[in-house]
Amino acid sequence: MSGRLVYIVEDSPDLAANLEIACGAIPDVEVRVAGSAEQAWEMLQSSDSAEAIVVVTDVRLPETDGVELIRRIRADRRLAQVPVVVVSGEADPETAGRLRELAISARFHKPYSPVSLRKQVQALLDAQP
Amino acid sequence: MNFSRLSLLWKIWLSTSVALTMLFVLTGLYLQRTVQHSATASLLDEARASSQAYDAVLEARAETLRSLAAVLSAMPEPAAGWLKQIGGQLEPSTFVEVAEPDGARRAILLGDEKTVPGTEALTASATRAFPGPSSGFYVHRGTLYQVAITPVYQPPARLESILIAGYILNHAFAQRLKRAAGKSEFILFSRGQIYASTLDDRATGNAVRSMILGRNPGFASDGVMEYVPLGRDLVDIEGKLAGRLFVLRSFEEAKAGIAGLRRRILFMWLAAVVAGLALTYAATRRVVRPIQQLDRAASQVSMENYDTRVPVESDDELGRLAETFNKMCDSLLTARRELIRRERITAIGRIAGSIVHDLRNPLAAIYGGAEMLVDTQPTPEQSRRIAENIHRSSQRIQEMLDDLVRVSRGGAVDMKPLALGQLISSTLSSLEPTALQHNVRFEVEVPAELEVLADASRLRRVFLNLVQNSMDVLPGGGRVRITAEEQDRWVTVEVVDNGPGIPAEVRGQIFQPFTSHGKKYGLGLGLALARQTVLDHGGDLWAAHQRDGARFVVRLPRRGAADAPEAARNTDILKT
Repeated sequence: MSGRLVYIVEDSPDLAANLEIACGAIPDVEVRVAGSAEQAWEMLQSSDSAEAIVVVTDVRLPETDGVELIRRIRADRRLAQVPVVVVSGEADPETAGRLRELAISARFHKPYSPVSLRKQVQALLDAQP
Repeated sequence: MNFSRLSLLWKIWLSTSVALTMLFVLTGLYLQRTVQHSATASLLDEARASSQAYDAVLEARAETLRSLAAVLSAMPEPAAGWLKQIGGQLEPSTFVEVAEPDGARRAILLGDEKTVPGTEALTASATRAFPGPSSGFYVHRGTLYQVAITPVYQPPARLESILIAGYILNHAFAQRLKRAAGKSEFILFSRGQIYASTLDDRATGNAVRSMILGRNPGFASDGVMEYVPLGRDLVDIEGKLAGRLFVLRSFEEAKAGIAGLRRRILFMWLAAVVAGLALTYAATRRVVRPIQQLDRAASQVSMENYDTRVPVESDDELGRLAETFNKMCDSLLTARRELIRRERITAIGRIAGSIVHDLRNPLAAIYGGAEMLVDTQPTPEQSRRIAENIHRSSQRIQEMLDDLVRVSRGGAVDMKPLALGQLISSTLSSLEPTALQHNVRFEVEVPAELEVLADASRLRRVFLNLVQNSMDVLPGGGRVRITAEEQDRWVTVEVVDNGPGIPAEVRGQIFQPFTSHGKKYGLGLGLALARQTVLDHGGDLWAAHQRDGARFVVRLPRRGAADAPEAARNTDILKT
């Protein structure tokens, strides 16, 4: 198992595929795709051996949304420091307010540049010891 | 009758009529009483005059009798012949007799022996007045007489004989007296017996009874007619009470006068009421008409017709009220227009926001994919996936644009008979690859013989949308079950999945346009369009309540069911 993990949380298969391909270009990285927040949370629970983790998540997800997922991550003792990159279509102030308290590393608005996002993710991975 | 439910005009009419009637009744009663009083007074005067006339007649008769006696006493011979000669000028019942100084009858000079009174008692009662003559009323054997008694002396002072002249007071005398002395009736009455009356026996009896027993001394009645009575005493030769003369003045003329007055008052009342009502109507119309117009206009406003206006016809309170009402309507109209304008802007904003939001996902996929193809070196396999994404996302944008066009185009339906089973099979086969990919299983139970009259392409989109919705909520796999059955004139198709179901809070809104719940793609038009399509087919589409998963019911008129479209309209969007 690779030491560096990127979790893509996106319910749109097309966007997930783009992100998977984009982040897959980062050296020594395993990309894991989840279609929902619940699925992502389960996967994160079994990531004990990872040396570096970055989560890329959409805000609008079926049932549990992206903001709630980030809140869980921040509340988890082991995952609290994991950098989170948010991709969202919403530019509304309410979402921005909810995200502000959760110390996210970067936010990309749709339609975003997968190349820029990949660079951001790579930088976040490299910054981790 | 409930006064409050009457119209304003009727209320005013009724009040006017009651007021006029009360006024006339009071005036009429007062007038009648006054007239009655003055009539009674004048009748009494007339009766008094009649009574005086009777007195004069009776006194004249007595004077005639005394003169007759005086003439006879001066004659040397009994003058029966002379008496016969002048008899025509006397009362028909006049008698003359001569008595001896001791009172015994000497001779009857005039009259029938059967009706002539005896001389003894008369002369005895007259001696007190001798040597002078005396006269008075006298009752003898059931007959009332007026008599004059004159003593005849020989010189120097010897009573030679006594002359008694008189006549009978009977009904015939009474009639003659009435003819001579006016319109009044009269009754001669003595010691419980009636001797002479101008009325018939029954009327006389009743009148006497009412005068003697009645409580009102100024009133008498014979049972039919009413009278004002006036009584006078009749005295005999010695000045004692011999009987009574009742003069009766009929009330009938006065009564007829009062009845005439009443008729005139009644006629005047009717005329006044009619005139009053007409005047009130004319006056009230000016008040009521604007109120009626306001009433009608207000009911129009209550039905949200703010274009209604009332004419301003006067400068008074009602005119100002009409003006205020019109201004109020203007304000309402302006406010409503402003509200509609704002709502339109809000709606446009909401729709635009929804479109932009929903286009963003496929656009992001295209944008990102294109960038990666240009700026990175993807493997051929990755390139193929990216190209596929771009293609699929473009297709989604195309579908959204189609939906938008369909919303604006409305529901043109090209109806043809078609087998429902085939339509559903072909719809599902186009979804089969995606279903396999997501581990979704289709279960279909549609009898092959079921036929509906429908626009095939539009109805296909309905089922496509419903099944697609089910698949969207089954990301981890599941089951979509489609069943159909015939019920009376309807064909009912149910699309049921075992997904999370429809949350209670959104059940009422899922058929509203531009509402999508937890869906990544689409403008939120799918269910709204699907339902509209089914309504256009004369059927209905609703979400039925179910514990697990979602259940959508499509009801379509069976082929050949005639009046189905009307029957289908009474359904709600959501049936539970």
